[in-house]
Amino acid sequence: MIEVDDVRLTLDHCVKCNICTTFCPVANVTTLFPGPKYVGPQAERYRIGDVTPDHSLDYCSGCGICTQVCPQGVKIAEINNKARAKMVGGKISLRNMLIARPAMLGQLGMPLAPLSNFVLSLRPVRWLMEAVLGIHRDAPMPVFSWWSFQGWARKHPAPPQTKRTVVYFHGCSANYYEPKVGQAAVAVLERNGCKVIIPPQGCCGLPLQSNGDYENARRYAKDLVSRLLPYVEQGFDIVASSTSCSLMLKREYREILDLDLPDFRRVSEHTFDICEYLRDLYDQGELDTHFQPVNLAVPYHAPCQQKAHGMGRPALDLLHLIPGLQVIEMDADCCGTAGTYGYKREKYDIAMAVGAKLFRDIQATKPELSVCDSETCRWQIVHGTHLPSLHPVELMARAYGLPMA
Amino acid sequence: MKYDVVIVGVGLAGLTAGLRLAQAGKRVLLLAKGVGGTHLGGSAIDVLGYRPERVEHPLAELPDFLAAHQQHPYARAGLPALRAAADWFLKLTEQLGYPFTGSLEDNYLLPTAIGTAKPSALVPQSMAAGDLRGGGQFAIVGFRNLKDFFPALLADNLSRAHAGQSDQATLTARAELLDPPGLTEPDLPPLDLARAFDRADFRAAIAAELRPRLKPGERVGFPAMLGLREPLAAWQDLQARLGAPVFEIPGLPPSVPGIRLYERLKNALSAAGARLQIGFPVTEASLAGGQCQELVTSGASRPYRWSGERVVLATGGIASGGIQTESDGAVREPIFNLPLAGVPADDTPRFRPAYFDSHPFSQVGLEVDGCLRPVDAAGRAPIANVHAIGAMLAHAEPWREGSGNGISLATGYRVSQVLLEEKP
Repeated sequence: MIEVDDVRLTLDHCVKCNICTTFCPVANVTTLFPGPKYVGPQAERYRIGDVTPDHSLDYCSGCGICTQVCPQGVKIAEINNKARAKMVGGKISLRNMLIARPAMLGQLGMPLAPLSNFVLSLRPVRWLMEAVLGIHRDAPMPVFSWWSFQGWARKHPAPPQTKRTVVYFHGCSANYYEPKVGQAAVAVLERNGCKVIIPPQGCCGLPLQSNGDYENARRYAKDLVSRLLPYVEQGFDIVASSTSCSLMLKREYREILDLDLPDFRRVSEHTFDICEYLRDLYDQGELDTHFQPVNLAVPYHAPCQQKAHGMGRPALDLLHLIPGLQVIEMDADCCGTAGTYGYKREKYDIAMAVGAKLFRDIQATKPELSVCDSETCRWQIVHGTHLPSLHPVELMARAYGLPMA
Repeated sequence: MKYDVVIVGVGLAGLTAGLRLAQAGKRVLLLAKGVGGTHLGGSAIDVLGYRPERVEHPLAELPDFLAAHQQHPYARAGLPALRAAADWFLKLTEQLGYPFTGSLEDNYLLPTAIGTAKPSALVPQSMAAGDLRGGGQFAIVGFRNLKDFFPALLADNLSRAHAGQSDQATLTARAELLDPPGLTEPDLPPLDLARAFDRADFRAAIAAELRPRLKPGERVGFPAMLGLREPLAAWQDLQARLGAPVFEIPGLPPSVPGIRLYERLKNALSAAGARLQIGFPVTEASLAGGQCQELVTSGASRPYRWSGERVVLATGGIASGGIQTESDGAVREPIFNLPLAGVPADDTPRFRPAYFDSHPFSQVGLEVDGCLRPVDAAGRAPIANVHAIGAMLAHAEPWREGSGNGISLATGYRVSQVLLEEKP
């Protein structure tokens, strides 16, 4: 078990070198955000109770790159996340209440999917949403699926022979918006001898946490952990296809939401990103490497939250095993959207400016598609490049010749 | 996943070793706790600046210097490696579009941000016209809302320091202060200014304002922020627009020249197939049979293990945490607990009274053999496949010698030769 830091205490390690500021994707495109050093370790010294030196902190997108590049180990992004929750102080705008609840939106929008998608595609509706709610008219809102992944999973027969059992945490996006990602995940796991249990599950609470609503985020966290814990107690691992949501289970519940409790620690220890899990199988000589050639050159973007797992680039390690597939890792740090940040009227332009380099670099490779582990990043990349973007397991499923891909 | 070489640290030493190895076809992984020294220093390659009197011709003086400092990292790397490294670096930076200039034969004498003169062997082309040897007329340009660069201080100190040196040609320096058009923040971040200089319209506006104020024959010094993405083009264009030689003066972190260099080296590494993972502090290593089997980093909920046939430690000195100090004065190398050399005995002073003295404690570091493997007092390498380079090596005083980046470049280059089994 990796222990979590006392986030606030790490600010004493700051030597004011400003490396974080030079890497901050937001500070690099707007003067509205003075940079992570300033709003993080510097301003934090002046935050007592609910007093904060200014409100520029709200422009932090929470990508976490500052923490990764800091040579001194200051938990800059985490300091900012906690400071935002204090600044918000439970006063959440209607807009932020809505966009922070992808499961609720999915439950409302999916049953009427053709209609809800049509309505949301109407420009006047989006203008109205921007004017009334503050959701930017051009923001890449996800498209509701016509059917839920959970519904499919209930009818999906388990393979007759399996070597191991895993629990699949699909998250909101695979359930309501991209069930094909969930299908690919199950297919690839089953191909590798896994019995895949798909328990009923709710949202991990990350969008609530990012929008400063810790009270409700903790409620979601406790609910999810109570659903997953019985499986962990049977010795099963949890495998997740969203690198942002799985980071919540691994560390952020404990470090940001201060839920460093025995049950949370047990779930944390047993949670794996799906590519991480498959790479472990490969390292143990257990991964089926009978891939069909995929003759493509694909740009791969490692999302910020993926990098925060500290597990390297398992998606790259796996995709390199596919014959014919040329994977080009993108050098740009962030796609800009950072979960719900890019949906907001006042932040959409910043998010697009942050992503501009990534979009350009992807387009420069003239690909058929791009690859990325996180859903909101994929939606943003599709929006910015006008090209499809797949989860790495979708490409693996295709290389295995599995039917749904 | 198994690598040929795992390098820990992404300062100049680690980047140099990694790039040469990756370009030679080795599978290379670079792990670092955070971004390294490139972003802090001025990025010039100082090879030998003082011994202790100022050095004008490093190559000519290095044999004597090494005779007097037989345990110095340069002695471990060897002079041929230092020379090859300098040639390689000049060619490389040319290819990467951010050319350095100079040689080991002569040191430039370049102004610092406070107007002292600093000897450097290899410097970005855009700094070379600041050479103070032979005197000259200098106009130093600052910006009113750029808080870390004071042209008047710089110019006054340059003039004053030179006034005492009657044997040298005349030097005059004066200050110019501008308001950067369109950049109205009260405290202008260096990167905002550097990005503005990437734009032709910004350079045109600056030149229009400044050109009428320049006197004939003046060379024009700017803070080293003339462009971030295309610094070479920005510098050449500004020079043409001003009709005068332009030079950059490095200052406080974050170092724009260092960022330019880091970004280019990083992209070259990536193009050569190396993997770069930042935010991966190595906490421990597992050993077996006198070899390092795996390096361990801590992830979000579990440790991760990385293995390489060879490991190159480039984690820096005391300032970077490559060598850790405790409040009771104890020192250790935190990953392998390697033996440290140069540790002052308990009953001897660790520091001398004056700041710029030669402090015994400052020379603590790793002693290495000719293959740059850390060795104990008996000269034995306790871990056969571990090498160490850069600022963590013992018996050097880079800030007194003016040798910091030179040591990193020479030892980074030399370790790549060792691992590629090239002749020195």
